[in-house]
Amino acid sequence: MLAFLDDPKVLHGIYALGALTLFFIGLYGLLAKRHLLKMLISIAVMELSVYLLFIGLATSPGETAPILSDGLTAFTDMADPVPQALTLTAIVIGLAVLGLGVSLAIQYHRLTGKVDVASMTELKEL
Amino acid sequence: MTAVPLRKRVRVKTLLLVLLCGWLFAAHLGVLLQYGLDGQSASVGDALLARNAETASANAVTSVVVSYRGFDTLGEVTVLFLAATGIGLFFGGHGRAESHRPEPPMSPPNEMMVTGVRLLFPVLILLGVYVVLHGHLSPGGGFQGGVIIATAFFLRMLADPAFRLRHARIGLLESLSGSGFVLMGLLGLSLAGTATFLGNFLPHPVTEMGRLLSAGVIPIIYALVGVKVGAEVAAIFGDMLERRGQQSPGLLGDESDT
Repeated sequence: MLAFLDDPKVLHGIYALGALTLFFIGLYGLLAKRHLLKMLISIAVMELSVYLLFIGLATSPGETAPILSDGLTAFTDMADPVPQALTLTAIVIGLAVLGLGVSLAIQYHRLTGKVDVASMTELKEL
Repeated sequence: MTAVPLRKRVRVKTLLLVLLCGWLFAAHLGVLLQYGLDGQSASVGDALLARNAETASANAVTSVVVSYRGFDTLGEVTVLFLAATGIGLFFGGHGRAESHRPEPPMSPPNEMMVTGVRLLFPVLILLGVYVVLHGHLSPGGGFQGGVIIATAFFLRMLADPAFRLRHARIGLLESLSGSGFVLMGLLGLSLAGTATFLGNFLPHPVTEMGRLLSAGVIPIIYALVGVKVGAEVAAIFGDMLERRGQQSPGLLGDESDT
């Protein structure tokens, strides 16, 4: 019944649509929420959708993970390892950026007592 | 559920704008996706997979991360180091006296937490070390295992307020493993047999593929990366937790979203 999923076009289309949905959920959160931590979480959701897109599009139906195990003996019919390695890099960088952003938000709140971006008016000319 | 009606909680204009963006993007994607999906005859990944046996690493992703794109990994570790330094700067500064709110005392950890962490801590450390050391054989590696080890220490810090990471020791561990990474790269560059940065100068026969001691320098470099990532992430956790007593609960508790 699910044989149509073996077509790479269908499968990649589903992956792309899902990642796109997740991305725009994150974008909505970034634009509509005003709490600093919620905005940072929205950015993390957008990052996650890009990782999913990379991993999803790099794998065609029938390909295995690029690891020799479970009786595999040759590196054939395997998923592309380069996007996976790049995604690993991106996850680490995303972690670093998120940690730095959260600590900036905490420090800002500690100094001013504010978490709402709409009330950040320290540098605004009156 | 709050008493605020749904139309007040959802920003309609923003939602419509985002939906418009999404529709436009999806339309462009629909045009673009017709090209290149089946037409890819060869990619970098295929070439790397074809010659991956030369690294004798059973995990092709690991050989891409550590060997073919090892220089990238060095930059990535540097970014993580800079972020950890920045976070340490924010939380370890002298500005704490300027905090305008009184510090609420930290509540003692829950008994379940303490008992559970006592059970989980050695298991998590063991799992982390396993994931680091088998990075060239199975899914995992230095980054993943390092974060697992850091999580173990994070739980320990949550459960035991008297437990503190010694920053000098963490810094020493981090600099030693970082210099070890660069040293490995330079050794590969200077030895005549490889003459490339991060070249695999140790013997790595293909027949040994799949064993723990195989793939030459790849497991050594990944173990160094694991130590470095573990130390950095644990330092980030430690920096954030140590000042938790000063942090007013408003940041997590306030609901200033409208």
